[in-house]
Amino acid sequence: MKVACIESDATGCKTWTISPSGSRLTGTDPNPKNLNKLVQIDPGSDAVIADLGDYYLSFYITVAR
Amino acid sequence: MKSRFVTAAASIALAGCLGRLAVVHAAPPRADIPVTVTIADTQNLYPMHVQSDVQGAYVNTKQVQSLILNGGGEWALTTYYGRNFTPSNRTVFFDLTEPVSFSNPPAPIGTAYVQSHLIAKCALVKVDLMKIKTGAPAQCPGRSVFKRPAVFGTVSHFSPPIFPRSTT
Repeated sequence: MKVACIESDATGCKTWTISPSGSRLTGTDPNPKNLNKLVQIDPGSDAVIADLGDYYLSFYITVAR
Repeated sequence: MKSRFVTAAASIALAGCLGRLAVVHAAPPRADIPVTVTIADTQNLYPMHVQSDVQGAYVNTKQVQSLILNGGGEWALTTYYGRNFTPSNRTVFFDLTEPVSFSNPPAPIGTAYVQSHLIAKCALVKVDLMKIKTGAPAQCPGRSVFKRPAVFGTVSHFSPPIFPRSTT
């Protein structure tokens, strides 16, 4: 994932955006997608117990302190 | 004279040991920082695969964790709490209708609002969120976790793959 700082103050970055890495495009959707693996997880050990294949995901998240 | 020499040598040795001890001491953990998270539902008029629950921004509460962890090592948004995935009144929308290959095993959901844990683990690649400069984005591994009804996750492809732990 690409984590970018879009605003800073004296203590450091203040606002971040989180978006897919690179610029992978699919179909007619102009938004970049991240390549993600879907997995089933053992909740006790956090181990991967099943690989359910790869999926494209688009997202754009803004984080502000 | 000899005794002074021995005392001085012992002092130097002790100082050396203390110096080593000082080096071994880890930096104290930094505090978590509450943050406000906005998840875009659309971009360029197209719906996103990860969207909000249309209830506005996510803020840090007793039931929703919205934090920069360890002073800058990770960002996390968690809409459930406790060991048993107790749901909060917030969710995240996931759209898993765009597999890379249609031979994938069936996904646990097509589209759904789910209790989720989203995290960017920048500390794993030695990136401090607080120190990212404007105009110089960083690449961090990330993942999401949701329960439906078993526990599933999406993991960003990252080289080298560093989490979650794999049984293979």
